[in-house]
Amino acid sequence: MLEINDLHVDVDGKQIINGLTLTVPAGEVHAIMGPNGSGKSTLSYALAGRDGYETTSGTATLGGSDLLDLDPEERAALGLFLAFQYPVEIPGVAGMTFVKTAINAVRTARGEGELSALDFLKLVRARLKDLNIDEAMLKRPVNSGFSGGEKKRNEVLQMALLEPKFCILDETDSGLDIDALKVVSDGVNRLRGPERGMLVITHYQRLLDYIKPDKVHVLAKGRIVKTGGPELALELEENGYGDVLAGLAA
Amino acid sequence: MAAKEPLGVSAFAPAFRERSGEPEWLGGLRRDGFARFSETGLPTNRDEAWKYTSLRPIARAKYEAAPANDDADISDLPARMLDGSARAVFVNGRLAPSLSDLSGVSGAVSPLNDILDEDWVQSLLTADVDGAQVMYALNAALFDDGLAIRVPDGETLSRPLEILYVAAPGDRALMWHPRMAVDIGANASATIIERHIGPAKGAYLANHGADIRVADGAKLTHAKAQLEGGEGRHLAMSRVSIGENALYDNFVLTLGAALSRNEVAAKLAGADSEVRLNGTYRLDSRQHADHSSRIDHSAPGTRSRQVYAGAIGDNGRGVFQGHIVVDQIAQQTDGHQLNRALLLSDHAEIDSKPVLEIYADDVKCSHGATAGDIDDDQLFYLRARGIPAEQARMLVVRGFLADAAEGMGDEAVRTALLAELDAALGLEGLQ
Repeated sequence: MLEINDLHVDVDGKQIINGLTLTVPAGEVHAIMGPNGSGKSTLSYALAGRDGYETTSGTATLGGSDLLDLDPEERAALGLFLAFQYPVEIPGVAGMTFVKTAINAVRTARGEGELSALDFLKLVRARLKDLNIDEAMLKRPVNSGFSGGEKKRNEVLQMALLEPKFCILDETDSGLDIDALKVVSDGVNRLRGPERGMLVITHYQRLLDYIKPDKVHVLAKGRIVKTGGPELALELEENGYGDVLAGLAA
Repeated sequence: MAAKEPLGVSAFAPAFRERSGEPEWLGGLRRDGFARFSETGLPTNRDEAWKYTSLRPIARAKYEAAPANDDADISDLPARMLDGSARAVFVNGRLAPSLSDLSGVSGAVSPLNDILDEDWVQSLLTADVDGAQVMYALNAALFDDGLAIRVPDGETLSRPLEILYVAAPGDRALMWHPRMAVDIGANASATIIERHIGPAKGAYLANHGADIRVADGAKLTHAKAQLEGGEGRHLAMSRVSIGENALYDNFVLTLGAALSRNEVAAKLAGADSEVRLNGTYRLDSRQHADHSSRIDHSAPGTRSRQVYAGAIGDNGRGVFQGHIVVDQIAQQTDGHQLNRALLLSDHAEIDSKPVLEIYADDVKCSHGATAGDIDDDQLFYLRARGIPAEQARMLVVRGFLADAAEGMGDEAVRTALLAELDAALGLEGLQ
């Protein structure tokens, strides 16, 4: 599904991702953990195609299609979804307008044709119900004045509506209290399935109590330095990143 | 050697004539108006109030007064902006009764020319208001037609009123100077929405003047969608007097015309009165739009709120001039103004000139101006959801502009204006 091979990424002329190799097969959820400054957010932005994140070498493909030459919207049409660490506020644009535009843009790019107003409404209402979100949220401007929990639920709602093949969750737990974390995790877990892959990027093990990963990778200095099962996350929680990083230096 | 003639006077002189059958006071108003215009001519950058907007091109255009169009035949009028509104239609500055529908409001809305002998009309048109401009004086000298709206004390105008101004200039450059008189009685209320439309080709000058009184406890919602044609020039000045505990809620959406200036001079004459002036503009190649205001806080406890937001592309140019005067008597004044501009190209320009003149000591006043580029975070967020770059830019612009519309208190009016904005941005059908 997602295959990253020897990826190098520069930001402002500084190399942040430094030979990262990673494969996430369909149906699996992998976690990337790492200390601050290890390149976690850079990896998610580079995969989503943000300007200023320059790939200097290496490859990244999704379902066999090259990602790195594509615009962000083309990557989304291909089925990549990034749940933002800091979802952006867009005053003056209603949530409903935003999701309708996004869904129809993605459908158009895939040659599926736009949804009728009625079908769109049916889809939205079904997903709102699944996630137990009040429709009022979509009448407000996108993320504008939302609490941290509301913003993250909005991300999960968009994910459910766009039905991506692959989801990257960038520090989805940041800014959430334990109740909000449960709600958001439940939403993410509903979207797990044999056809879909997920990459969960997090600093803390806490999120992985709720979204159980198949594999855990440790990111340090821009590359994967250790890979293991879910127990690796617990180990990191107990001992911190110091041991892993010390092992690296040795 | 004769002194040089003030700019443009000879171009407008042929349109100025004695009119028989008009009341004496109006003859005097017209003569005074043209005398004032003849003294200074068309304003240019040398006039402080027109520092960023010169009307020099108007002198060269040689506009002729539009002839009467007795059988105005416009077949494809746009649908009404507000469901259930009455509508007065003007073609080339003249009221076209056959195109208008004033049922339900005919007691309150009349052709101005039919009621020039009424005292309230005289008192409104001849009232002294600070900040009146020379083009407004020229309007007084030259107006041929107009609308008078009067809502008696304690009543509500039974339907919102749309005033649709249609430009149909033809081969020659034409001009018109419509006038509007509005008197909202004590504790009365009304909603008026103007729409100005014109063809892509054809030169014309529309020079509007309005005299508005909002009496004690009254409320007037007054909105305008300026969608003039690409070669059109649009000038408008409204003088507004606001009584005790009254509200004047104004919004202007500026999308059309090569050159436009929308100016409001509002006097908060009664204690605890409020004025809201908000506006949104979207300018492109060779468009110049000026939004100017003067607010006189002349009584205690008065409030003013102004937010103008513009998105300027290509070599468009926006101007905002906001002048707030707080009289010594106007303690506990609360006055705020803000101009926010999004510059979409390297050649786009915005000029902001706020002026605060404060003679009272217990007041809260602020002003601000921002200019910037499109927000990259917003753009990336939308694109990451699959929305193509150009459409994402339009949505960001839409959001930026619509945010200013939040200041318009009437939701139906706000929605109608945003629908016009969305159509202009190619985003229709999204709401």
